[in-house]
Order: sequence, then C-alpha cells, then structure tokens
Amino acid sequence: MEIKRSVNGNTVTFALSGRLDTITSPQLSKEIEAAFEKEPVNLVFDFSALDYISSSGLRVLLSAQKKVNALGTKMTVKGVNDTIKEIFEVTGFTGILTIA
Amino acid sequence: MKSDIFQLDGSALLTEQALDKVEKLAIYFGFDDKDVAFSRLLAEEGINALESLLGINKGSLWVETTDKDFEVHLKANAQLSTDQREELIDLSKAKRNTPKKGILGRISRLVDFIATDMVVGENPFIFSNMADEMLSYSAIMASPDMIYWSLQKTKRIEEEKGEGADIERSIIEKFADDIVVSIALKSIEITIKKSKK
Repeated sequence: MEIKRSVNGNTVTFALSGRLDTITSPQLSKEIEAAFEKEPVNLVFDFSALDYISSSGLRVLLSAQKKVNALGTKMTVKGVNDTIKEIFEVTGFTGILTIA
Repeated sequence: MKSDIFQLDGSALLTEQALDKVEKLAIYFGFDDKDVAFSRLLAEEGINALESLLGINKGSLWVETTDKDFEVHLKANAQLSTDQREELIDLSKAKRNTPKKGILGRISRLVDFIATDMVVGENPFIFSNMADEMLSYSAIMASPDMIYWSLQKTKRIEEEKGEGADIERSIIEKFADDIVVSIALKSIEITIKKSKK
C-alpha cells in the first residue's frame, strides 16, 4: 500500500493505493497518529486507488472516526469503489463514516 | 484440486504469502475481480477470526476447489475451552460442529453433545448411553467448567474485545456461501466456501 499525505490548512488528506489490510493498516495508523500530533485536524481519506480493505483497515478508520468525534473535527472518505462500498455496507460502516 | 499447504505463524510475511497464493488460486479458479478480492478477504478474515476468537495465530492454510466451489481451509492445533468452542461453532453457518468422519469425529460429537445439550449438576461423570452413536463409550469425565455455559462469561468476552469485535465475523458471514467448523479433540478446522454464481 502507498500513502500520499497532503495538507491544506487544517485538513490532512491521505490518498491510499493498493490494499489496506492486516499487513498495511499499522502504517496508516501511524500516519493518522502523526497528523494529530500538533493540533486537531480534519481528515480526508481518498480511496480512489484503493482496491481492498479488510477488518484491520476498518478498525483503523473506526479509531480515526472516534478521534475526530472526540476532538470535534471532521472525517470524510471519498472515491470508494464498489467492492469496498459493499464491505462498508456489510459491516455497518456506512452508518459510521461520512462517505462522499 | 487441493493446493499446497501454507504455514501460518502470525508473521506478516507468511500471512501475506498465503493470501497472495489464495488470490492467485482464485484468479485461476475463474472468479471475476470482485470475487477474487472477496476470496482473499475471506482468507484474511478467517486468519483474523482464529486470532480474535481463539488467540491462535499458528496453523496452516490451503485451498480446495471443485467445479463450483472455492474453499479456504484453516487448520490449527488447539484444545478449546467451552466459551471458545461456542464462539467458533457460532461462526459456522449451520451453528454446529461438523466433525470429520472416523472415531475421532465420533468422540468429538460426544464431547459436543455433553458440552451443549446436557445440563449437569455436581456430578462430573456423564454416562454415554444417551445417543445411539455414542453407545460404545462407557463414560466420559468432564470438568464442570467444560459443561457450564454462562451468559456472564459471554458478555465479559464481548466487553474485553471492545468495539468492532465482530467485524471479521460480519465479513465472513456475509461473503462466504458456507462456513463449516470442525472441532476435534486437539485440532480445529474452518472451511470457508465461496461458490461460482
């Protein structure tokens, strides 16, 4: 998985490509942690080039969502493909995440 | 067709190698891109479920296919507690243990019968003339803990796992066409089946 991070004001965007799974999710988790080091930020996850997500990746998103909820910032997931959309639906994440 | 057997030891390297093989076999099997992804996902969540439900990260994985079905098999050596046994059985579509054939399978069915269907008080000895197929066994000694089912215990396990504990289960239940759990005395096997549409 490749993660491209960009910052615009207090919004941090993570553009992910490849697979967000058991192997790669710790990498994203560290990136998110680092994004919150200085100040509360809004998060955007661009999944346009992400092929696959497993429960490990979903847990990272869940943790990030809880963090922004606690800080009063916002989190958006965009560019979700059909496979990932189906996984979000099955696991109830469509009701938890803001999917653009 | 049965694939090679891939060992799992909880390391990212072996897990990824096994999942890559599952993906390649799913492509060879003729699944479309989406079902290839779901096959890999089912294998990954099967591995995750073994760890989250039972705390097991060592075992083996292989794939078996027929004309219609693509099966991911996960096997591990384990002796389960009653709670773990119930959790694992609950993962199966049929909500029961489907033991392998043979004498070990019959013993396993007997243990299942004791663990799930009997209400035993203080007497730890259970005589086995309660089912036709079990007549050949004279007695089984079972600890009270083995046969004691407690909703409190179940609740505690759920709390310990925290939020999102059932993500693997949701994924497996939704995307697999069948899930068969075989619990023997010292080993367990999970078969996750995906069929061609």
